[in-house]
Amino acid sequence: MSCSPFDLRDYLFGELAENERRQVDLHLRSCGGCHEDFDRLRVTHASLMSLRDEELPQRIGFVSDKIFEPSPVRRAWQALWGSSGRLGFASATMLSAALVVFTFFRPVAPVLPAADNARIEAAVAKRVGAAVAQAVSESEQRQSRKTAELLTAAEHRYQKQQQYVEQLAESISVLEKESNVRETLLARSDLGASR
Amino acid sequence: MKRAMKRAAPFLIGAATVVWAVAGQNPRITRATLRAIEESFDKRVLTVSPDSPFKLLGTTRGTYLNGYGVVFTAEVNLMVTTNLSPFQLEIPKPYVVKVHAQKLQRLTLFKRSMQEALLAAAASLDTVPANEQVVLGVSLFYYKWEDTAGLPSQVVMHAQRQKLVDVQVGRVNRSALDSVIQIEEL
Repeated sequence: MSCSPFDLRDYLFGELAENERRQVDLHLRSCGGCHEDFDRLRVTHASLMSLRDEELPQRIGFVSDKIFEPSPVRRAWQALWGSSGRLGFASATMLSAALVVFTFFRPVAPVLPAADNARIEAAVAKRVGAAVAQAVSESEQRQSRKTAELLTAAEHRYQKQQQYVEQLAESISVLEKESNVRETLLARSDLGASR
Repeated sequence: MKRAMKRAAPFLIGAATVVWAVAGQNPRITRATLRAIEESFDKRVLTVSPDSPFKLLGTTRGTYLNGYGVVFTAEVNLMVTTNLSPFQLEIPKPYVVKVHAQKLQRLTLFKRSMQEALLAAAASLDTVPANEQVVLGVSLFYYKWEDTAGLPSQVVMHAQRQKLVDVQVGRVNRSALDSVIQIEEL
C-alpha cells in the first residue's frame, strides 16, 4: 500500500501537475517503501515498452473454425501414421509397386560384341583352368603327404606289433623250454625213485 | 644129420667169431651211461651258482658218433632275467647294462664249470676209445633286448678222451687243462 500523496502511476506517466510532481519527488526520497514500489513500476513499464506493438485481432477465432482445420494431405498423413493397418497396407502396396517396377525396368547387362565375349570367355576359361589345375595339384600333394604320413604311421604301428608278437613268441618259447626242462627233470627224478 | 652138423660147426663158429670181433670193435655206449652224464651236467648247471643259478632251457643230450666220439649239447641262460610283457613294455637301459656286465662275469664261471663237466664225462666214458673226442656244446640264450657284445651264442669244448683222463688221474698237471681242452666260442 503506497503512502505517496499522489498515485505513483500518474507520476510515472507524467500526468501530475508541477507542484504535485515536486511533492511526490520529495516523498520518494524520504519513503523507502514508495521508492521501492516506484522502481518496480518503472521496471514493468520499461518491459512493456520493449514489446513490439501488435494490432488487436479483428475477431475472436474458434478451434472449430474452418481455418484451423488441417489440410487434406495433413489429415491423410496423420490418418496413415495413426493406423498400423493402413501403414501395413501402404507398405505392402509400395513393395508390390517396387517389384512391378523392378520386373519391367530391370537394368539390362550391356551386350558386348561377340569377339570380346569370346576373348573374355577364353581368358576366364584359362584362369579357371589354371586355378583348378593348381587346386588339384595342391589337393594331390596334400593327399600324397597325408597318405605318406598314414603309411609311415601304419608301418610304425605294424613294426611295433611285429616286435610285440616276436617278444611274445620269444617269451612263450622260453616258457616252453622251461616247462620241458621241468618235465624232464621231474621224469628223471621219478625214474630214479622207481629204481 | 650129425654128420651135417659136424660139417657146419666150423662155419658157425667162424661166423660167430667174426660177429663177436666186429661187435667188439664198436664201443658199447649204453643209453644209461649217456643219461648219467646228461643228468650230471644238468645238475652241475643248476647247482654251480646256488645264489643265482644258471637257467637250463634245454636239458643235456648226448650222442655217440661212431669213430669221432661223444657229443653233448645243452641250452643255458647265463642268468635269470626279466622279459618284456604286457605289463613291462620296455626294459630300462640300466637293467640292460647290468645284465650284460653280470653275464660277462658269469661266462667265465660257466666255462670253468663246463671244463669240469668234460673231465668228469671223460672218466665215465670208459668204453669210448681213448683217441676219440668228448665234446660239450652249450647254446647260450639271450633275449632280443639284451646287449650281447662280447658274449658268445655258443660255447663248444672238446678234447681227446685220453688227455682228459690223464688230467683226471693226475698224469698231467691240472694247470694244463686249458691247453688240453679246445674251446670254440661262436
